[in-house]
Amino acid sequence: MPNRLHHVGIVCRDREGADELLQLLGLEVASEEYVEAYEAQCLFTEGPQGRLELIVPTGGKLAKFNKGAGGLHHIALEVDDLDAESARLRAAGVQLLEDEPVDAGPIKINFVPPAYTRGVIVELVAPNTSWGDAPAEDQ
Amino acid sequence: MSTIDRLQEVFRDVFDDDELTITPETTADDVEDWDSLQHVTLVVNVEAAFGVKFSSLEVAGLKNVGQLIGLVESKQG
Repeated sequence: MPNRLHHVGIVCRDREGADELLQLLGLEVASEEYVEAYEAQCLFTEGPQGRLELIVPTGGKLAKFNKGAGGLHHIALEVDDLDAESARLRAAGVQLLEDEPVDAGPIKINFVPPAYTRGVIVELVAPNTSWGDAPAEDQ
Repeated sequence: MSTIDRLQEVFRDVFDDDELTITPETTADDVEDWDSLQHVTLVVNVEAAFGVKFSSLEVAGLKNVGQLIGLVESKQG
């Protein structure tokens, strides 16, 4: 079962839009990762207020989200065991967005499509235990 | 009015397209802007139009308009 909120994801039209939002909210990027599977640069803030993910699409479906305007996209819940949680949901009849979890740097992710939640995209997040195993020049 | 005619009115309203024509074979790939989030908006409007309620698994399992027609009519029966 999910044990806590990991982050809230917001799609931004471009990097400039993400930077403007960060400035407005008084937040800074703590880490960022390009997720090839979703064609997006993902910027994470950290702090006592919680974590935001600002998603800057470079193409694909995310670039068309909300007719290209971007906006609030998903909530992400952290689980200890993504495979176990995926199995639990599939046993309940839920077809997750991905057959296998997607590597997104230090985390592994999958999504519960909004049809199951009446409009909320829910991302499931677990630590990526294999992250950092690659040779240094590849990181 | 037949189920598909009433559904077509709902589709035209949700997708803001007065020329949109649906058939039982119509899928999300055939309608611009019919993505996973708009699918939920469509379903909520269909529920309101026909006075029925669908489960989340029913909503997620719909593959085309024909299945939606069948689901609506099964709820009305």
